Amino acid sequence: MSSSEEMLALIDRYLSGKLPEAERAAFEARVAADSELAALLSSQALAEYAIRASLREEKKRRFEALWQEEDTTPVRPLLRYRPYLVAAVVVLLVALSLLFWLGRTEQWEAGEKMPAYLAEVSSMSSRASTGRDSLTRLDSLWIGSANAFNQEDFERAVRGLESLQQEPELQNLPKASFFAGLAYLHLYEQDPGQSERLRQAQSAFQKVSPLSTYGPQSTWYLSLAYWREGKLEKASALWQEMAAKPDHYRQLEAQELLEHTQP
Amino acid sequence: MAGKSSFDQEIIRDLQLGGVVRERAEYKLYRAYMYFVRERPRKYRLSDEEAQDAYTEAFLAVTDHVVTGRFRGESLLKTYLSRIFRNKCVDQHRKNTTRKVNWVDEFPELPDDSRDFMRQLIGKEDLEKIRRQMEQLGDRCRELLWLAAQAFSPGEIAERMGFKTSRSASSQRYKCLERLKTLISKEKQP
Repeated sequence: MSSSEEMLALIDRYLSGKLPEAERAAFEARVAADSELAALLSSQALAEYAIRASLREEKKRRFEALWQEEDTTPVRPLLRYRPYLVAAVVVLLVALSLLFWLGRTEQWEAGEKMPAYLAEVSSMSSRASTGRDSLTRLDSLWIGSANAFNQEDFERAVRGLESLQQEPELQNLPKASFFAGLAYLHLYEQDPGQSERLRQAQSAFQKVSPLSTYGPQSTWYLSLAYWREGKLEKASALWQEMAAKPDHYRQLEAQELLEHTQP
Repeated sequence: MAGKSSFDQEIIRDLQLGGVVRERAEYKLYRAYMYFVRERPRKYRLSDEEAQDAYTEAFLAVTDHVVTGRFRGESLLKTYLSRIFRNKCVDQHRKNTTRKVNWVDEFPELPDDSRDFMRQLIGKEDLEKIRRQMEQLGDRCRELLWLAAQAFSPGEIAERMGFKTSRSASSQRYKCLERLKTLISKEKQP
């Protein structure tokens, strides 16, 4: 393997998160000091992104072609036992109705509903690509933080994002605050004993201006962080705000939460 | 826990192995829950085509999460896929009711909340450029890069694409990658 191939292989491993901690830190230090290497990293990240994006489109085409092979839309295998299922469902419905009328509360607890919403947080990804020929020190810091976030190393992501916010020219950078908030939420979910993490998440989301690109998302996750901490009044105020906006991307969920969490 | 299902265990293991084994597992998983489309929530009033599209989107997200380790096996694959499928149906419903189509929707890789973020990084023109650059690469280079991105080993790539040795497949991959980077940098020049 030539030395340039070795370098590309090293960048491959960095971008895919396969470098061990010490090697990763050493590589990032090299990137910060070497503008040629930084440019190489940037162009490789963009190329990898192009490959992944086009591969995804191609896969979509291939899988969607499978529908043409089916005569009819597939039926759940168990449906051949439909008569038994229908009987079982009727019995179950009667039992559930009884439970309901016997006074089961419809209120949702945060701990019951939150995992579903927070599962969506784990599907979020902050992409590390600047699309530029060369990287500045701040770009490198952002790439490091975004990679850490994507690799679910939230402690490291938070450290990087917090340092970004210390930069005088980048104070109140909405995307850094937003992803810091998400990272704190993740850390809390990993260890619910650390309630401080919830407050740090709230503080990060509060820094994001409602008018910025991240405003609507920050409001939504701020409401979840309040709810998780048991501050239902504050959460409800935000849900009312979102429910009143027909174009808010979480309007339906906000309405649903308002209906089910009110005493 | 997913460990209780031997189907899940097998699929997760094979997806993470990559290459040909992953490819087979992907088809197996995709076919296993195609019936979700028939059983989709009716309240969203999606057409069959829209529901199939939502299913494919959800499936791609799930395989991506399994491969990258974001799926931690805290639920069955079926439950996980069903939840994401439902979210995709909601997305499609919103798109239908607001009658606004955001260009970023064309980029199915992106989860909802990162779309705005990506819009800042990659403009619509860049997205079209990316498609054009991948076209310009030619079928063979494109296929090679796609196989490598799916963790096909150099040996598997050599076998599928007819290279004599895995070493030549490997070195061809770097050449193709370099060609792609050159195309990208040419596009960026004013």
